[in-house]
Amino acid sequence: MITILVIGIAVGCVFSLIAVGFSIEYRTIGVVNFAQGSYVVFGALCCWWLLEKAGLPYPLAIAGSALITAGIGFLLWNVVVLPLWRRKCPPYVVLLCSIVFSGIMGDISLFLFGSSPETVPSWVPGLTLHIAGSDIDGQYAVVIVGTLILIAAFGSMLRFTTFGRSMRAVAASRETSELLGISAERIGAIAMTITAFIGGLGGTMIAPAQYASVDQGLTFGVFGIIAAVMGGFGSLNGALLGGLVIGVTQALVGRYVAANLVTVFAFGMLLVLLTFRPYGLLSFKWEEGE
Amino acid sequence: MTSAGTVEPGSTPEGLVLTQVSKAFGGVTAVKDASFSVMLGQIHGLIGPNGAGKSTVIGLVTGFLRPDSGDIRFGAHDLNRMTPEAIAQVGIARTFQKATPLVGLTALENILVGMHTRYHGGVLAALVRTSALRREERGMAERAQMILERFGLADDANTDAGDLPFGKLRFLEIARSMVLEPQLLLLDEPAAGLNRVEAARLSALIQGIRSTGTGVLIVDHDVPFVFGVCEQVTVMNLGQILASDHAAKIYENPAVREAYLGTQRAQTEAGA
Repeated sequence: MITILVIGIAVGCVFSLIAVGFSIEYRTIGVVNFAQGSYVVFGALCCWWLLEKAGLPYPLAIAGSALITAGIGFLLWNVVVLPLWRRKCPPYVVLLCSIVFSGIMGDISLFLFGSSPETVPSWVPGLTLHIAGSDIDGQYAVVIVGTLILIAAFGSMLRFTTFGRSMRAVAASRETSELLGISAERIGAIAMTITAFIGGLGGTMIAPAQYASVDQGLTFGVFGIIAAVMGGFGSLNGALLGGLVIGVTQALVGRYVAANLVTVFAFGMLLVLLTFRPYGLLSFKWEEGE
Repeated sequence: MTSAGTVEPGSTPEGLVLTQVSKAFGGVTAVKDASFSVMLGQIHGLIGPNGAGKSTVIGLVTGFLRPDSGDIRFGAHDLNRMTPEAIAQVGIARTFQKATPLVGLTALENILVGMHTRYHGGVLAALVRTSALRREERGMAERAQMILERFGLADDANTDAGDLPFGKLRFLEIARSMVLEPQLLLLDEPAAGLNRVEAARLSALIQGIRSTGTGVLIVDHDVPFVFGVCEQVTVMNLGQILASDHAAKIYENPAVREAYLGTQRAQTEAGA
């Protein structure tokens, strides 16, 4: 039971990172980008490839994978989102294009990395946690601590740095920010690069604990967006909380009810929650009014 | 068409000059052959009843609208083809009728946002937070605090802009546009909704802004407010300039008085 819970929390952390990506991009550039889930899977498989096929040292493989994923985010912004954004395309066009892009990413991953599930060594080899009589892979602790650090770092950047302030300004009003001389396009590029980086890094963290395969991209995306909506679509703490709730639910339902019903339960919970709290668990106040 | 370089008598080349500017929406003429100029270091009022074309003029000057014909120049800059961002960069700042605070940011942060582009040191520096950057940020925060003080908002520095009352929001808006150190400040109905005390303070602030050499163009239909603060007044009606002169002369101008008041009466009778 404890093992199941810890695994659920760790997987939930990955959902949280994806939810953070969804929220940040939605708040700053008003775009729902469905490639978030693919970033995680790509990050995991790219790390495996750099380590096992390219023979890079493990730390370099991790950093390289996160940076390459960040590059994909930057590419997605410049090639797909920015041209649509400039023409003020409705959000659903961008959403559809990001789903297509996500599919393309999956196909390219399949071509590059193959279809078999892959895994990589633990970041903390030999570390096993003993909690209440259960033995738990130390990598799960890495995922949990790493996620908390990433979210805290991103949160302080938003709150305390000039760049974070510009990002919140664009989130509050793109037009006003531009009049004040902030380049919303530059902020958008950085936002999408950072979220891809976070997703890719999340992938490298979870890869040693669970097998990663190309077909998981969509699942990660779906659970990530459910977590984001649950958390309030925009609040970092909400994204964290939403991810944890979904992760634990998924683990418990998968173990004690039926693995096939995981999505049904997660989605059902979301619908019930939205009935009582339409703005999610921790609703967010960046942009009331206008 | 008027050739470029045609400058109205009495204007200085570094000010805002409109020459024979026209703009129509569909078949409806909003502004027709409008010519007037705003000098730097002067407070200029643009008045006229609703639908006179005042807002269109603001839109044209700030690049949100393109003129069908005519010239809009600001000093050496031809504003006809410039984007709103570019126009802001050459020194024309504006405020909107409806306040546009950056909600979720404090009053101080609302001021700081406009500053960062003047001192930006790149993304990497922002992420690493070099000591030079931190020093710069401290200096900016001090300057922002001074601006807030000047606009009577010192005590609200850490209040979320979304929680400020209406009058203070208006001042915050003007304070924020001053960060860009504009040469010309366009105020769209700045006195609307302000009480008498706030309006008096607004007049004093506008005079303070003018005294630093900045030109101010106030677009409003609050006639007492405009004549109380402006040195130069331009009167518009039905898309055309009726007169543009010293405030005292405009006030005495019987043709303006009759036309302006007559239009108002006609509008009231029409129920509009």
